[in-house]
Amino acid sequence: MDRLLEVTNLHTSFRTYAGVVQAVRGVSFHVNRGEAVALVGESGCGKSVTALSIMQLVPPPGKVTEGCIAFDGKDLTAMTEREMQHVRGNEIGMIFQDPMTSLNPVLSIKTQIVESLRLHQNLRGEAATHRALELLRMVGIPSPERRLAAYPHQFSGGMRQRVMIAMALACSPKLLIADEPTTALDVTIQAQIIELMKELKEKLGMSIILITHDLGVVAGLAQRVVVMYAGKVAEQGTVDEIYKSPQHPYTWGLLKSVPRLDATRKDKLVPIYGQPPDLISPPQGCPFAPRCDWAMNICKTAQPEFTTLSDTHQVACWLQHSMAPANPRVKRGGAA
Amino acid sequence: MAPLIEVKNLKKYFVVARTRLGAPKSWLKAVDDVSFTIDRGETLGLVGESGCGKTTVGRTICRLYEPTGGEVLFDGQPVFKLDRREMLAMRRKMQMIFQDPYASLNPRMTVGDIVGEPIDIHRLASSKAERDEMVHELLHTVGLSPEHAARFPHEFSGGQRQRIGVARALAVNPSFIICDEPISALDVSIQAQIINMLEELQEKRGLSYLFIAHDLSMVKHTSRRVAVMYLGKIVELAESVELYRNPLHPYTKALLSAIPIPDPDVERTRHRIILEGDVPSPIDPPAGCRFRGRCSYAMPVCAEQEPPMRDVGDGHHVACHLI
Ligand SMILES: Nc1ncnc2c1ncn2[C@@H]1O[C@H](COP(=O)(O)OP(=O)(O)O)[C@@H](O)[C@H]1O
Ligand SMILES: Nc1ncnc2c1ncn2[C@@H]1O[C@H](COP(=O)(O)OP(=O)(O)O)[C@@H](O)[C@H]1O
Ligand SMILES: [Mg+2]
Ligand SMILES: [Mg+2]
Repeated sequence: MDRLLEVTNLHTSFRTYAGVVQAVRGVSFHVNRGEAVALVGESGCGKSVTALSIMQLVPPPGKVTEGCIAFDGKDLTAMTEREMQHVRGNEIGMIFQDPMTSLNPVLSIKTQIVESLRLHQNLRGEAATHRALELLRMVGIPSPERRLAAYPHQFSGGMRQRVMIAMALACSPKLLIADEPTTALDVTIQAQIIELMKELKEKLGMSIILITHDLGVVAGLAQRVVVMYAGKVAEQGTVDEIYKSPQHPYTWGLLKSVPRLDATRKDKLVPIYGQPPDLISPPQGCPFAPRCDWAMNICKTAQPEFTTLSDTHQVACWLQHSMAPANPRVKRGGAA
Repeated sequence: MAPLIEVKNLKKYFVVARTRLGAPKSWLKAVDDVSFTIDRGETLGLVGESGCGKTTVGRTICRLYEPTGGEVLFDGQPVFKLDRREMLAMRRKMQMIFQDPYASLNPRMTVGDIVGEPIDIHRLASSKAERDEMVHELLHTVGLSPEHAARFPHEFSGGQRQRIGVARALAVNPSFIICDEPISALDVSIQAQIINMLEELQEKRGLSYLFIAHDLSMVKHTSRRVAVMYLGKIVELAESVELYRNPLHPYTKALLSAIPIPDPDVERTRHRIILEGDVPSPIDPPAGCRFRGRCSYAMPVCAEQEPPMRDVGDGHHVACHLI
């Protein structure tokens, strides 16, 4: 399949007084054209920093220190800020968890959308208004003619998120990065937004990176899942591989810690105890080892390499090694 | 045995506009005629979209808000009729834990003082040493250590702060705790820790919970019975498995269908009822059934009459003209 985005060995760090926070430590993944990929993991594991690195929007004192981000045949890390502005306005759209932080509260929705259309698409006047209405209609804002002049605070949380999506779509992006777009919303509104993204992806053939800490919301939208932990990829695979045959104990933990609505009996939830490591001095071995029920001696001293289980399924875990004790849940690939 | 908590026709209206003379001109009916019971050792779940009045129900039951109408009986005692002194004693029996572990703890107090404050207010310790001993015991109960007593809330993660909130609620040894979205602000991996802890405490101490959440899958997991709220009213109440298997109210059906299931096969074939629009304003709620504007089965009668709550058998209650 045709790759739209390929992130290779991305490293992003923040140089703070407390030390260098190694937020992203060698992340690699790709997104095909027309595909939705989910980035999943708990807070602080580097999902947002990965997204901001792709957009070249990492705030100081943060910096991409290593790695390559190929987007549609161009290396984004080698671009000037001017070139990058063009990419952000025309090829990659991004939406955030809290739309209020990215909408300007003192400008009407119309002004904001029209301004972005003028800047990036060189549309003005009638044509811009027309396109703005079309976008609001596309994201399901009822009677957009009446809502166009409204200000962000006059919209509910779900409607604001729709406005954000409309603005991100203004440039007809090839890739939409949605960073926890539904975390602050009610489940009913979350379902609306996920449904909307699914529809837009099919209609516009756009690719999506969906960032979330909840594996639950992913199954209905994404084709593939990248599970991140402590700035690294722990496991990646198709939704079927990740949900039906997960191989990393962290993925097991994420799946077992939430109840399923369709469960017929009550199983005790299995929490992941403890907390993710400090990224100023990440552990020498597998970063998940201190919280892992299956951790072996090797896990505390050496980083596991990736094992390839299929064209699409990879896992970084010592349980894959031929010298690890057998585990009924582990399906071994090649030697680690 | 009589239930521990009986809530009867509870109403809480907020004044949103006054005349020039200060008389109320328009009301926001946050909770409008809500009734339910909670047994000893039972968890009752309360779900609904934000703004439907869940928090207001919780806060009015323990009189953090003065009620507009209705009655709450705690072990037969009418909570709204208690005077100040009696209410202070009642506060030892019912406690509340809050959604936002960041906002609900005083940032300038040490964890020891946060947990110890209720002990001081209710004079539960006869000496400083006994108080400190109690604080350490409470911290231990919620999985924290005595050394944490000297630290401040900002030094803790979200999950740990929620544990501090639970320790504080437990300090007075209550029999009923209102848990207002105790896990909504937490990462999924941490949510299970808090839920398991609340369940273990319930088993050990025979606690009753009102468990408020917007996540129906977690509510189904934790609660024996679940009440579904919409715009100030309970629209359906049933045992949690029954509610999931046999939802009767169109709103409950929509709420259930909105919940994602972590299984790609299920998700691929699932038919989703997408609720159009947002919750209407509780300031001038629609006459008749409050859900009718978003209901695809609405009939003329729904605009005219408010559907009464009916028992359809086995403790399954629903308020809908279709049933
Ligand atoms: N501006 C910053 N300064 C210092 N550290 C930061 C900054 N932004 C993010 N980090 C750190 O980078 C790590 C990854 O953060 P982030 O990508 O936001 O996590 P996620 O989105 O997965 O919750 C965290 O440990 C966080 O503390
Ligand atoms: N102190 C208050 N004053 C005025 N209105 C309030 C107050 N508290 C809550 N409300 C309103 O009451 C309704 C119910 O709120 P709340 O009980 O917080 O809902 P939930 O907890 O279900 O999200 C909302 O419309 C809210 O705006
Ligand atoms: Mg983030
Ligand atoms: Mg609330």
